[in-house]
Amino acid sequence: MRRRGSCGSPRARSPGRGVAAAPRIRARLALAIALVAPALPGAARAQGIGGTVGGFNTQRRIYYESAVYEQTGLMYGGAGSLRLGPLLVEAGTLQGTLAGDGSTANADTKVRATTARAQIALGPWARLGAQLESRRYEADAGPTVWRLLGAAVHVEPGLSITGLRGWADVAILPASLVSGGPKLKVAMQVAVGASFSPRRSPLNLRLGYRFERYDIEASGLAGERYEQFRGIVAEAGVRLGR
Amino acid sequence: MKHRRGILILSALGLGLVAVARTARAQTPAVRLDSARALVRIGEYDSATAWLNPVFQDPSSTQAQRGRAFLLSASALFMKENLTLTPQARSMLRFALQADSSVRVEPELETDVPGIREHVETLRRELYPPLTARPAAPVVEALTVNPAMLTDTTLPAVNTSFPIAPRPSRAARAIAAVLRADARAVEIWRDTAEAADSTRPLVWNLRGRDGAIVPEGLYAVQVWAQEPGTGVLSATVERTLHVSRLAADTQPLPPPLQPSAFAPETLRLRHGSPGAVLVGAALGAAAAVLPTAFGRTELNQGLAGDQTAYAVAASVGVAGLVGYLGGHRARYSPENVQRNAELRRTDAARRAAVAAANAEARANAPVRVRLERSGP
Repeated sequence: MRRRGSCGSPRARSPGRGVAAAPRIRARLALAIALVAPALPGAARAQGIGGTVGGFNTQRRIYYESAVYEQTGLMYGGAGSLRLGPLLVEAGTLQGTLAGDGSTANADTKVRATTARAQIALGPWARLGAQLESRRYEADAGPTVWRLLGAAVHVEPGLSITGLRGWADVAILPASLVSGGPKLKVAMQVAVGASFSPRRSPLNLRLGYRFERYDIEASGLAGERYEQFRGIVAEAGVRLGR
Repeated sequence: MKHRRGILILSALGLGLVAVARTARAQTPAVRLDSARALVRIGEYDSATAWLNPVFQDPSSTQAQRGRAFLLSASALFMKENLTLTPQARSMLRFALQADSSVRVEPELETDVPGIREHVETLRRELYPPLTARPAAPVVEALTVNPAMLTDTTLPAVNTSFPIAPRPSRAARAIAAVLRADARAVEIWRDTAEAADSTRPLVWNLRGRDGAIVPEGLYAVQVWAQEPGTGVLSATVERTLHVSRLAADTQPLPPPLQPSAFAPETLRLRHGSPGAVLVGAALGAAAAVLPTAFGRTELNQGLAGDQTAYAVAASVGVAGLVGYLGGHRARYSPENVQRNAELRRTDAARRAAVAAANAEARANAPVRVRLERSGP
């Protein structure tokens, strides 16, 4: 089924516009952080902060022009969070190199995802909010940037032992597009797993399974293109404050 | 043998004589006078009078002893009538002076029976006017008061009465007032005796204007007199009283309830909620079916299941099971809540009862009134 083609890097179809959009997203993220930063010290005393590092053992599969391409690799990164009462603001990055089969159509790709999320607690174990993500792919053919925007839900029910919880993250990102390129008809990210915080310890360990699906609409001569990411996620973090 | 028997008889007679002599000594007028004096000192006035009666009938009593006995009887009556010299007491004083014109009121007796000396001396002047006295033009003496009151007494909290005898130098309207010693502007009590009654004591019930017994502290008693016709005022004489409450017989409050006295209102049951198993199973199942449920057929066709998804699914499912087996859940116990509430109510009622009893005991504690010092 595998077949060489240009689908490994959508940047090949729109070289100029994708590169120009990435700095704009970064500038907006920087502006958001600059607005929130002055409130951080007081908020940290009043509420809580957290930090996480982890890895995503990724299998990326791409369907384009009736061919399926597969890339695998470990993505790693970290995230920081700030809790202000019911509001949780979280920002993080995940990056890594996904190895293809070495062909031109399925070359190794560097992936870097930068995510910002703001959620309101709906109860002791549920949050709802918005998610903005900038995802940059770099392959031999050049860089491509996706901008993903939508709603995100987080649930974290307890499992009857203090510190032991199940969790699920679901993000539906309908306002997503390839910078300077086509829109994403479907963009969703789902992860489920379990977490454990030892008693009287700020440490938090998470294990889960993550699945992402992106359907990119046809553009010009290029046909529709489908991508999915899946794999195990392992994270370790600390939570300070209430 | 006869000699020994004689010694025994003589010894018995000697011992009998000693006993008779002691008995006779115990009932001599001198002993009775000493005993009566002691009874007056401790306020047993009726007993003192009864103890003195044999002295008047005893032919062995000397005139001086009779005079002393009449003086002590008069003193007992005077104190019994709240520092009022009744006609009977006055007769007693007269008999005392007639029996012994030199009878005197010693300072200790004047302390225990304030004012008796003045009455004695007044009567003495009436009965035995000075031989050197010559008729002279009537001299208008200045109007004075010489108040008398108990020097140290303990009174019950109910129906309290503390007599204050103004004792004007002649018939006049007598006024007595009580002020706080540290706040002279606050007059607590005032009473007036008209001229006809000015020999009778005024009675302060030790209560303030609010009707409650005055708090502990120093109080100034001011006494003065006013002549009815001329309106002439005497100088004001002040005495300071120290009023205090005797320690009340109170009981300690029960100690506060210990946490161990309460039953747990939330019971901790073995095993967590069965929901933990369901949550774990649901999340595990979700992890296992994610690729097939949400993935595109084009991407997953012909692929075997994702082993990592199954591993995570199993882990989450096991976590739910562990949570159920190793966890605990809380169950609210309304029975224990009710029992604890009843325990708190009972404890509060018991503490309130003790507090009320203590408050009542303090309110009814006897009052001690002591004359601190005399004014001008």
